[in-house]
Amino acid sequence: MSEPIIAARDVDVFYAEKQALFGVDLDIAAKQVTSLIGPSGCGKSTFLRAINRMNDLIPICRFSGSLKIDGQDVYDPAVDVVALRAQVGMVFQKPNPFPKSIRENVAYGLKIHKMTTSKSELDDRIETSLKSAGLWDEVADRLDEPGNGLSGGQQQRLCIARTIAVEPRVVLMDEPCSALDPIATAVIEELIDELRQDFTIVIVTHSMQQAARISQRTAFFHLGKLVEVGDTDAVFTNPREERTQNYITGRIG
Amino acid sequence: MIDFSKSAGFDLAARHRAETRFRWVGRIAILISLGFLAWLLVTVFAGGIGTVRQVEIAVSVDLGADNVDPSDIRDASFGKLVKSGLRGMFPTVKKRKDKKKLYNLVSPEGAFELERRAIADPSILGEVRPVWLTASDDLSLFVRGKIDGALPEDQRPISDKEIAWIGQLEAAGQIRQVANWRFLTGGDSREPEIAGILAALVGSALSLGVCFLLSFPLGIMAATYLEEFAPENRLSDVIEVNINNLAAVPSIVFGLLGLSIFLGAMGLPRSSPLVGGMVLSLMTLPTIIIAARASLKSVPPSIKEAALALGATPVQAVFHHVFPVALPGMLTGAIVGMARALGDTAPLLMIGMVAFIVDVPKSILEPATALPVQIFLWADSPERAFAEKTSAAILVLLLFLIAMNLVAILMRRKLEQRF
Amino acid sequence: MESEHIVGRFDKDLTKIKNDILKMGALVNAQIKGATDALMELDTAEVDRLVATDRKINGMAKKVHNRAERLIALRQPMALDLREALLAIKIAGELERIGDHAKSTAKRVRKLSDNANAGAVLNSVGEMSAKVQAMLTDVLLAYRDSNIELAAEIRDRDPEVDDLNKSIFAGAITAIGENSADAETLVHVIILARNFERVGDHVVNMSRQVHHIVTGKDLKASA
Repeated sequence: MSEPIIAARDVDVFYAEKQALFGVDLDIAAKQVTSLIGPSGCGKSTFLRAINRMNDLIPICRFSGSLKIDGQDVYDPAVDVVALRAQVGMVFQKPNPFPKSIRENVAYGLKIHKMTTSKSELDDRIETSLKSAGLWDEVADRLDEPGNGLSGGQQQRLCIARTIAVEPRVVLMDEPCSALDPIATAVIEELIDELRQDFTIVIVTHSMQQAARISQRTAFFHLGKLVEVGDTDAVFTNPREERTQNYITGRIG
Repeated sequence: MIDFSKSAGFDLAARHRAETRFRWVGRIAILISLGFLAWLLVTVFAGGIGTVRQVEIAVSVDLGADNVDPSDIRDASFGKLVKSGLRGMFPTVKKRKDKKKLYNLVSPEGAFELERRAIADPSILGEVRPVWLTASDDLSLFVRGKIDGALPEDQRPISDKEIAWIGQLEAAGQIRQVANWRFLTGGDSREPEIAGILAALVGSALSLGVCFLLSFPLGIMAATYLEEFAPENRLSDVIEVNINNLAAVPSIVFGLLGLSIFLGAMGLPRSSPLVGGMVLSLMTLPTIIIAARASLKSVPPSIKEAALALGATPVQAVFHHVFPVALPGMLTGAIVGMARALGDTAPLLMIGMVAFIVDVPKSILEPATALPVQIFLWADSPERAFAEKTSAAILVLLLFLIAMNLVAILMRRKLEQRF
Repeated sequence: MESEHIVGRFDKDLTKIKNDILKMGALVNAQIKGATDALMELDTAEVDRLVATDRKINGMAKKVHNRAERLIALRQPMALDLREALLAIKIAGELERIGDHAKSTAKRVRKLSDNANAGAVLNSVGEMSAKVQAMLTDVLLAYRDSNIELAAEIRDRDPEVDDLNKSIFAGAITAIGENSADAETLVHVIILARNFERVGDHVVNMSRQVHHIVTGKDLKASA
């Protein structure tokens, strides 16, 4: 595996007194899709949100351990969390476009980070992002219409376009397809497959089939611990741990 | 075969009866409320609508050169001219008491009216001519049918003789009713027939303007800070409880506060819309804060989360995304607060807006009065004609309220259109 | 052993496949025994029955194939379950071919019934048959119990079968050299021995498949 871009060492996360993650050691490689699977409450979403420090928004949440992106500890006091989130993007489970026009949605990140210098440059980047997200053909003629007017799958692609517009190094996805129908899901899975050429993607998913389809590396979490991590085809055809096998074959215990 | 009919069991009959009962209870409640409302509106409307018309008397006045000097019009004594005109129209009236009654046909304002007209249009000078002057309040009420002529003479404010004269004047076409624009364009007066609402209207508008400008920005900013940025600790809880309590404080307490601080310590002009507005804003602020906080709470947190995940700072996330969505709701809360401020008399009384104000205030520092205070003053007056004016003033207050609500609805709709 | 699936019917479907294989295996084993007995007694009456039974064996292989196909489509099995479904098809295929060998052995009885001189070499063939029958019985047990030690042991017994095949061949060649009149019979015997050697190879394949189901890795063809 090439040099990992995200390296977690001995990561513990607590919600007040309740511990949600126990000593997680995980490496995530660049320009690949890594999926985090496991039953509900196993800590995979908590781990994902620790990467871009969205857990900071929860006052009772405490982090300990080391989480480095590109060699830098993101919990170091010298790190500006705004700069972190500008370069580590997130797509959420329920599509949440801003109640503004499609254009304004995609442009928002570019505007607040002052990443473009002219209107034509802004328009170009909006077009590029929407094209990368596979949404351009459907919305090119109605960029000024509200984002909420799109269908669920389109809204999620809009959120993806919005996230990749600022060209982050890493894109985190928290069950991005769980609110979508199978066809919209397939469209987004195809999109993820194309995006991985340019971005490092970490995706939390409830669907093992989805993890099997789109990721190159899979990490299985159970009760807050990382049980197994490996190449996706190995994890799903012949996992090392019995707990992993029980989960992916739908067994009790 | 499955039974889906009413007799299928499942306690259907009793439950449907309960449904019907509740619906009727609801309907009856609404009907009773609407009934009271209708009664109020009809009573006020019927009582005040008469103000729309004003009665005028045509008096033949001698404006000849020996009575009025064209080069110095003000010097003439128009009161005497009016009286002599009246005497001329009723030459048989000789007794002093009767003459007094005769002069009473014209409003005391009549002389000033004549003077103003002469100054404005000197071409009417130089001859005897009939001039339309405002009738007195009792005459006005009688002509418009508000005084019952059938009552015995000692039970009515107008005597038989006056009724006879009125009959004569009407037969000669010297009494007419015209639209009473003065009600809306003039200030208060001792004479009910010429009293107007404008001074109070402008006073209310200015006070509310000051109140809105002070309380709305302050209120929504405070609410935004408390809801979105303040750390969740005991201090925030204490502040929240105190704001909730302040919203329930009787408004007269704010009046006392205004009296001692704004008037006493700060020495601001008494009875001015500035101080009135400041006192009202103290009263309205808690209401606005509570409504604004509720509106902010109702914004789905996913929007803010998305903005933060994109790298927005907390202030950017709140002001670019949460605030615009919450703004229509905040406006509604503000209007509720404003409506209360419009009708609240007690605090304004404490800071002195209870004076008799004739002139329309031109700035927020001049003494003024407010609509509810004016209503109170007129309701308190002994003259019968002021009863009609009170109802009319209440109508104006209600219309003002409706207008404010319409403005708020329009603004809200415009904001909501921006998704 | 393995814990149960949360969806009970999944376990039932897997069990049905396993039972089908075991039934098929028992029937194939009986075919081998029947064919060998017919051979020893040169009983042509049995041959027709054995040939007819082979059609039933082919039908059972098809049934296993269909069940496995359905399970893969409907249950999306992963890891262990996927291997059980896929390799059941292969095991059924091996059993079908063993059945074919038993059938051709039986048909050869018709041809041998005229001549009675094969005696000694036929006994060796009988010995081979007994060995592969034992191997088949054991490999079915290994499949039923997911017993990879037994599977490896079965693989290690195959060289005995191969050795028997070689000695029968050598003996037959010698006998032909001595008396060429028996050549036809002895050629049949050589072919019969080769049939049974092939059966042994198929059983070794089955034991490798059992090992693969359980471990996910290959078992070497020979130790």
